[in-house]
Amino acid sequence: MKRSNVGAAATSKKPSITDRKLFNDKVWDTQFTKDLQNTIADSKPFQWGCVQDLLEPTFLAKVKTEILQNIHFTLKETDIYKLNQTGDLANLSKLGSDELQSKLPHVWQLRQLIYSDEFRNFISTVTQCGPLSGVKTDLSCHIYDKHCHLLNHDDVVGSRRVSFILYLNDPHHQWKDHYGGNLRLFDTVTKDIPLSDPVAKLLPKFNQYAFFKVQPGYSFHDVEEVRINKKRLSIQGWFHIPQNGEVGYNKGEEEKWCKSICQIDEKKLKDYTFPKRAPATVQPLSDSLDLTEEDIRILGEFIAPHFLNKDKLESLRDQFLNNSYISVVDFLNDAKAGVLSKLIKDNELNVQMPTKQTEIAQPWDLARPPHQWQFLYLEEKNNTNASKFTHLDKELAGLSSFFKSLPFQKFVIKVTGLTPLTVSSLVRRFRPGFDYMLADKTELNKALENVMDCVLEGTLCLTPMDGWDTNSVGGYELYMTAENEEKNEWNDEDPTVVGRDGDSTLINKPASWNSFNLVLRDQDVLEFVKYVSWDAKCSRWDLKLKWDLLDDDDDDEE
Amino acid sequence: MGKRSRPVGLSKNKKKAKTNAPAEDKSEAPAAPQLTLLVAEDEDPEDEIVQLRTLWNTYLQGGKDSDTLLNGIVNESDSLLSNDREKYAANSEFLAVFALALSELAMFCADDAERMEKYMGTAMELLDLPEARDAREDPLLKLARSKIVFQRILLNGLQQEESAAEDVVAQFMGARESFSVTDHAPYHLSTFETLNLAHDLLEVVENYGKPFAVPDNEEVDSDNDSEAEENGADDAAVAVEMVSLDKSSPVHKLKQELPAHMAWCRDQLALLDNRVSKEQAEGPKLKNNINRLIGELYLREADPLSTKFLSLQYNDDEDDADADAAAVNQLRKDALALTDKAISHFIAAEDPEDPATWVQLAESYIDLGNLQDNESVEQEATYTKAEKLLRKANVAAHNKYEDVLNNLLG
Repeated sequence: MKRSNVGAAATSKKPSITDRKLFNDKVWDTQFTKDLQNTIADSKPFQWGCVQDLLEPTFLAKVKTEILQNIHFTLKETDIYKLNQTGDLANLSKLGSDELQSKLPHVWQLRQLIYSDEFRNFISTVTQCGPLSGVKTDLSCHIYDKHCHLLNHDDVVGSRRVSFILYLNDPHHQWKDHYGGNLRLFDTVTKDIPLSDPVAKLLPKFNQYAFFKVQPGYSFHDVEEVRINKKRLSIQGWFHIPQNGEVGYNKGEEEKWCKSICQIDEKKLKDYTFPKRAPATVQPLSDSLDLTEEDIRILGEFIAPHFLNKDKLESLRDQFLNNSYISVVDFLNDAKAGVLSKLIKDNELNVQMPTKQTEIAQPWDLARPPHQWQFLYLEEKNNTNASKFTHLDKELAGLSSFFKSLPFQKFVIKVTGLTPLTVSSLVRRFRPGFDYMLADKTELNKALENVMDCVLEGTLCLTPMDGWDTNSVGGYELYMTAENEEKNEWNDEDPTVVGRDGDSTLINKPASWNSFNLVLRDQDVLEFVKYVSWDAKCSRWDLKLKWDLLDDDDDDEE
Repeated sequence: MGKRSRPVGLSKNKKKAKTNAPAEDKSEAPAAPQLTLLVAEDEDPEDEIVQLRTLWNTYLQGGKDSDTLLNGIVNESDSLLSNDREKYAANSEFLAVFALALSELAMFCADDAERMEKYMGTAMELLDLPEARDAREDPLLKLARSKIVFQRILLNGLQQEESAAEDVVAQFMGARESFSVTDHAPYHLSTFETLNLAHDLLEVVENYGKPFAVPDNEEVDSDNDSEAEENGADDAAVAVEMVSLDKSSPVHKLKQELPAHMAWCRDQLALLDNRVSKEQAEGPKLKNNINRLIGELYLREADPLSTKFLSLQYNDDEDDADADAAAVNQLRKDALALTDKAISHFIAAEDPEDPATWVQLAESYIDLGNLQDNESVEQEATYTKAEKLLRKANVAAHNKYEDVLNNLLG
C-alpha cells in the first residue's frame, strides 16, 4: 500500500471529551445509530449511508480555510480521473503527527476525530463491516472544478473496508444537480459487472458525510463531471482492516482479503464484455503484393489520391519503419469525407443523443461494462437490423467494410511491410459527458500460429467539430509504456498519469477530422481514450482497426 | 514474397532509439514543428512581409494560444530589421505586424509585469521608427497603436492612481482617434481584435467595483440564486473586490462616458461589418463574430431601459405608481427598438454549427417577449420562436440547455 501510513498515526491520541462535542450529538444517539444501520442494510445498490451536519460547522469551516490557505493543489489527469490533488500533502497521512498538528491544527484534529475509537465504532456499527483500524489512516483532499471527474470503479484496493467523503463545498450556496460533481452509485448485473446507468445520486453538501462499505465486485461508483465553474472541495479517505496489535486484528485476514480481491473471473468478465470482436481472417494473398489497377480504383473510391502514388507509399513506409507509427491527415478523399462530414454533423446537431442505455437504438449498442469502457458502437453484422440503418449508418458500415477489404490489406502491407492474418474494425462514438475507454494492454490472438508479438492498430478519426487540440475536453487517444504495473485510482506512480513523465507517453492524438494513424503496438503498451467532457462540441467519432500479424521474420530485429 | 525489413513495436522502437542514440547525435531528435502556410494566389510566398502577415493571421485565427507562432514572427522580424534597417524601418506593414506580435507576446507574460511592459514599450517604439510624420500616420501603424494602448490600459492603466487618471483617459481618447476601420482585407481580423479589446476594456470599466464578475458558462446556471452568495473559494469566477470608486480615478472618468464609448465601439463594428465580405478568407466567421458583438452592445444598451420598464409595468412599488404612462410607453418603445436591433444582429451571427449562437438569439427573443404586451398573441409568438431555438440547441448540445429551457417553460 502506498497511501496508508501506519507509523505516523500509531501515536495518535484518542479525542478528548471536547473533541467528541465537535460531532453532531445525533451520532452518539442509540436510536439514530439503529435507524441508520437499518437504512444502510436496506440501501441500494449496495450498503451506503450518509450523515448530514456531521461536525460543528464553525470547526469544519476552519478546516476548510486551513486547507485552502496552506495546501497546494495540482491538477492531475489519468485515464480514470481528472481532479486537483494536493501536492506533497496529497496524503495527509504522509505527514507526521507533529508536523500536521503544527501546520494544519484543525485538519489534524479532524483526522483524529475521524479515526477516533468512538467514531470508528459508530461507522463499524452502522455498516456492520466489522472492526476498523485506527492506526492505518488514509485521508486526502480533492478539488473537483470544471471538467473534473472520476470514472466508474469499486474502490477495492488493499485492505480498504469503508470509503468515505466529507464535503466542504460552499455552506452558503446549495449545490445543484446540473452543476455535476455528484457521487453516483451503480448496481451490478452480477458480481464484478456494473450496470452502465447509475441508480442513486448524492449531491455534495457542506458537512455531509457519505460512506459505503467496500464490497469487492459490488461497490461501483463514480463522480460525475463538474459542468460549470464551481469548486467542489472534499476530504476523502478509507477505513482499513485492523492492524497487528489493534482490537479486532486477525492474523492473516488482510492477506486473505487482498488475495480474494485479486481473483478476477476472466471468463465471466469476457461473457459480459461488449462488443465482442470477431476478427475476420484475411484472404490469402497472392504472390504479388503489387496493387493492381483494380485495387487502385477501389482504394481511390475512399482514399485521397495522393496517398496512392508510389512515392507517397514509399515515404509512408520509411516513416513507419523508423517510428513504428504513422499519422496522416485528410486521408479519405474529398467526396467521401464530404458525405461523412455532412451526415455526422447532421446527426450531432439534429438527432437527440441517447443518454441512457435503454435509449440506444439498433444498430447501435453500448460498449460495457463501464469500469472498462463505455461508448456507442455500430453493430454491422446483425442483418436483422438492416432496415434500421440510417444513411449515416450505411456509410459508416461501408467504410468499415472497405477497411477490411483485400485492396486495403495490400495498402497496409505496402505501408507497413507487415503481413496481416486477421483484421477487425469497429465504428465508435464517444458521447460528451459519458464515454471513454480505460487503459488496457492488447491481447494476442492465441488461436493463431506464427503470430507476431505485436498487433497493428489503426484509427480513422472522424470527429467533425473543433476544440480538441488542448486536450481540455478529453477525447484524445493515448498510447503509453506500462513501466509501473501497480495502479490504483490515486497512486502517484499510476502509469496512466498524463504529463507526469513525457517519456512514458508514446502517442497522444487529439480527436480530429479525417486523420488516420497506424501503430505497431507491443503487448505491454497501454492505450486509452480519455473521457469526453460534457463541454465538448460533439462526440468523438472514429473507426478502430486491429490486425493480428504474421511473424514471418527469420531474424529478430531486437 | 521477397524478404522485407520489418519494424519493431512502438515501445521497443522507443527503447532502441534511446539505447542507440549517442548523446551528441542529434539525428534522432524530433524535428521542429513545421507549419504550412497558405498564401493567397496573387501573392508571392517568398515575400517576407507576406509570410509575416500570414503568420500573424494564422495566430489570430488559431485562437491566439500559440506563443510559439508569436516568437517566430518576432524573431524573424527582429532579424530582418537588424539586417536591413533602412528598408524595413520604412515599411509600415512590417512595423505594424512586428509591433502587434510583440504586444501580443506581452499577453503571455501575465506573471512578469516588467517583461510585459518592456514588450509593449518596444512595440510602441517600433511604430515611431518611420522618420517622416506622414509615414507614422499610416493607417496600419495607427491601428497597431490603438491596439497597444487599449491593451496597456486594460492590463495596468486602470490601477493607476488618480494623478494618472487624466493621462489614462487621454490615452484612451487618443487610441479612439487613432483607430480607423481599414479597407485592407488581410487586416480586418486585426481590426476586429482591436475593437474586441476596446470592448473588453469598457466591460471591465463597467463592472469595476461590482462584487462579482460573471462566471464563465453562467448561462448553464440559469436559476436566480443570489450571486452574492457565490463568493469565496468555491466560486471560480474572478471575484472583484467591492470598492467605492473615487471620482478622480481613471475608471470613474472612463465610466462617466461609458455609453458614448460603447456606442463608438458599436459604430466601428458596424463599419467593419460593411467592409468584410463573406467571400474573403475567414469572412463568414468574422462577420458572425462582429454581429454577435454588435448584438450584445445593443442588448446592453436596452437592458437598463427594459429593467426600468418591467419594474414600472409589473411591480406594485408605490414609488412607481406615479410614473407617467407616456414615459412608461416611451421606455418600452426605446427598449423594443434596441432589442429588435440586437435580434437582427444575432440573426446575422447565427452559425448553423454553433448552438451557442442559437441560444443567444433565443435569449434575446425572450427579452423581446418580456417587453411585449403580457399574454398577447405577439408575445406568445416571440416566446415560441425562443422555445424552438432552445429545443434545437438543446438537442445539438446534448442537453446542455435543459435548465434554460425548463426556466422558459416554467
